Amino acid sequence: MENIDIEATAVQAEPMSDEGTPVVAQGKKKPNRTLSHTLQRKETLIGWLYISPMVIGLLVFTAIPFIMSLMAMFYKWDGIHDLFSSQSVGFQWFEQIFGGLESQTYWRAFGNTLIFAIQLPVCLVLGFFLALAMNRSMRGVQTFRVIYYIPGVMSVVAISIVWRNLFTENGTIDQILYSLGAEESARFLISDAGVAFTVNFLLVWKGVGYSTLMLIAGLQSVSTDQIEAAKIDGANSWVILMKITLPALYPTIFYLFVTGLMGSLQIFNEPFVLLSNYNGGNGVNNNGMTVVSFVYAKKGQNNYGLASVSAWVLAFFIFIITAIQMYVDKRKREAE
Amino acid sequence: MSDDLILKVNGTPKPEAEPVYLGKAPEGQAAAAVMAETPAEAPVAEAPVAETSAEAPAAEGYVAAEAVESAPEEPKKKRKKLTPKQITDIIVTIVLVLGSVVMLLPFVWMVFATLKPHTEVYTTFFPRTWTLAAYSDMWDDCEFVMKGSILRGILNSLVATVPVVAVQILVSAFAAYAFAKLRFVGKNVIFLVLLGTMMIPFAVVMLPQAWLYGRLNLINGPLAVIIPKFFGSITTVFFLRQFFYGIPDSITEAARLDGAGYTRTFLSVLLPLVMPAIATQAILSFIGNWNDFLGPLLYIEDKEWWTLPVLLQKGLGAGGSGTSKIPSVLAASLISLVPIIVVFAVFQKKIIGSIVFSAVKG
Repeated sequence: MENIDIEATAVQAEPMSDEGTPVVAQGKKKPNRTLSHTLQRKETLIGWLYISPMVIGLLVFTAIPFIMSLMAMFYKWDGIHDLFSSQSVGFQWFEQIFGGLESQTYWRAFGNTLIFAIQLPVCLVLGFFLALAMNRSMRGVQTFRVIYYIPGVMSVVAISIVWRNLFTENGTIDQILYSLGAEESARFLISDAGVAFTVNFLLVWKGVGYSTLMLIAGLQSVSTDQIEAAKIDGANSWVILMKITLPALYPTIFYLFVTGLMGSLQIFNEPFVLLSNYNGGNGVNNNGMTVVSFVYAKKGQNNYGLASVSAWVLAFFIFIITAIQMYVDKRKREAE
Repeated sequence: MSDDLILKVNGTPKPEAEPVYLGKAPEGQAAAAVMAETPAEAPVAEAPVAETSAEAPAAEGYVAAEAVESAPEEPKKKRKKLTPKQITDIIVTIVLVLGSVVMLLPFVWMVFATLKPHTEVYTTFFPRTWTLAAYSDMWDDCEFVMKGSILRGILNSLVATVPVVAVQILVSAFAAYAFAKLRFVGKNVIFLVLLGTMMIPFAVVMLPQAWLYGRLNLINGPLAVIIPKFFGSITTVFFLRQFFYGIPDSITEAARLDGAGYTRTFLSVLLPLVMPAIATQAILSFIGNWNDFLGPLLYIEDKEWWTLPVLLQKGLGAGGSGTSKIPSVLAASLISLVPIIVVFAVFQKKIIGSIVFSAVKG
């Protein structure tokens, strides 16, 4: 389909003319070893020069905080003084998270985070049908693709403020429900179920366009020959969908699921802004608190040690989930 | 009527008499167009936001709505002998139009809400009393953290965005070139390590980073959300690297034979070739940085330097549950969306293309 016109494909189209590389390299190397040696040294120098900002950034802004967060798990660190001058507390923070003082709040936040991940399968299923619809040769599909993606690029804070006003107690949606005969507020931002619904709804509304676009790209790589052949063999469209289209989309769906889950488990902005008026963004009885909100709250309490443990428990969970997904994927590929 | 509104919102007050609109709207054509078409279906729109469940009882009416969208007249002329494909097309279009209403209605509601007195915010869709009070109140009276904070917030957001985009892209482009085209020891290891850092959940490093920025004296101004980003972005590097791979080595070799050094070759030969990709990355970087919330929330301690998203969220929290400031908050939110709407309207093809690209790569 010609409507996805990107420079990307244009440039990508003639990429792998890499055969030139080895030939040239060999031609250079053989006749004069010392010259090529000098050139190679210069290239190494230039290469490292060009990547040096990335390397410095990596060391200073990622590696140092990373190591500190590992060590902070065992210290009573307030985030103001230096870590090493802080008191070492052994496994105190772990005890607090697993069964102690903080466990109830933390696991509530963890549970909420999982509940807010329900949006992911919904986005994928809805996105799949939308992609099928928008992959038809039909007028207006291009416009629809843009429209469905608009919420995805808009400022999370601004759109969360809008939805907050729509869903708030006696807000617009409540008013519509009243006019339809509802007796009292649906308490979207107050009750547990209401918050779970509202946050998931907002995330689907915001994220479905992205899934759709990705799946459309996936659909366009499905071989039409295969579909034609299946049609000639008398396969109906349901069979084609299940036996050809879905398997061909598998890599896209897998990618969306893995990256989507990683992102979803780190959700913060949407519930935090939606629930700004309830318990400082964490919701009534913390019913909208996520793991990242929990960590953020610990910053305010200057308890960086506990924050590190909470973040690492989440990180560990993400790693395990991702590893399982990768393993299943590998098994599946090997089976084929 | 609604067209007028949108023009006003976009900051281009046109004389009422002049029937211009969409075609001429200087900014956000697409956005203006899509916004404008939704009110045409207000009856549908006002119904509870219940996606596709609404079947199609008044098929005729919906077909008309659809005609506005795209397929003009065609189905109507040949109504007697619609092919199965045409019937499916109509049904699909109806469903997609309904979905589009769900996608866009919040924005339309937002625009109208900023034009009402606060008493009407939740109770009406169209304003009964039209007022621009929200837009005048917003500047100094918003229960925001300080007087005149919105203007300052806009400036802060620009300060925290524009230099970042420029430097980040350039630094990333150099690194991407090195990773794609130069042969040097340790290249692959470093690249893999950089990719690996994308796996680290932000929650893990965010508090130690806050401490680090404090130690480096970055948190008293906007620098904490600027300086660290000057050191490049691995996603941009990854993306640009694919483009550099696409350029045949013969081109670089030719430039080298002509005596150009590495930097010359890069700046005057390769960079122009990947300019479209650079532009795409710059746009995505702009959107990402402009919308960023958690970073500034964590790292900017001085409220004078809060960016728009932080100000909006804090202002909202300060607003309590009363509605009196809601139109102002929404007006300010709308202002914060304007740059994104403009950028998206102008560059939507590039933005959507980049997603498709990542889909193909992913």
